Amino acid sequence: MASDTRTGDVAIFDRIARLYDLKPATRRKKLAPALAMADRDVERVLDVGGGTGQGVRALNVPTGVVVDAAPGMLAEARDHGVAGVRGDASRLPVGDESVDAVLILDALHHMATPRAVLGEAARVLRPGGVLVCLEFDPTTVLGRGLVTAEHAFGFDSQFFTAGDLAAMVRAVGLSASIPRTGFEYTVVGVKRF
Amino acid sequence: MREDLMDIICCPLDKHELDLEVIRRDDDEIMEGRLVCTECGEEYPVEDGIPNLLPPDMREESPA
Repeated sequence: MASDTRTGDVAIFDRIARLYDLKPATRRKKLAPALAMADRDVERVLDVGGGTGQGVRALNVPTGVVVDAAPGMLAEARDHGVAGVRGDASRLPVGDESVDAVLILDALHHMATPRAVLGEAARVLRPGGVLVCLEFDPTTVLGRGLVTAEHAFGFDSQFFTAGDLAAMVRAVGLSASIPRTGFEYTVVGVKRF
Repeated sequence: MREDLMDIICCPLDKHELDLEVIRRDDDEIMEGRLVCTECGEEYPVEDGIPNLLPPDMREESPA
């Protein structure tokens, strides 16, 4: 696989941070059913690669924290009242078993080492906690268009089918399921007790 | 950053706890400071209220 040569898309996101909120807001109704699959109350949520914090802002949780490598994104998050931490998703600066949910929303395909990112997500989840990944299926008609567009824009994106991503989530020790399929799909992983 | 973030964050290298040294505070927000790993001693800056916990090998990279 090509992950050794992929650098991730941090620099591009830093340049487009102020435009990023023009993307349609991540809607709560997509996330709520996935978070409900947790085997514990969800109070503390970590949004990995969460940019301006749209994901945690869509949720009504006591504590939402964004980890992103792009400082421009985190400044936007702070201006929206969301705590931000500059960090690398594959080497998270977050303690073991310290959060109830990890969100990776339309972000994993931008990351250089997605398997390491999923491993870190599993590590920081408390038992019963839930990982929620929203991703785009490259085998759908819309997905093929997105792959072409992102590469034309200069992104170093790597997309996965829902089945492949579920297998990757299972490989880091989480109980994986696919509650939503289609162009934008959801893969959920629950950490067992 | 607010001080309660210390409950969540750790050193990205060895995952040990961090000590917080505050340089400038603005009400509840720590605007400038240093986070020092209690195990390896690596220092991470708090800049403009945002902790920079990128591993040292990524920290020097210009984002642009």
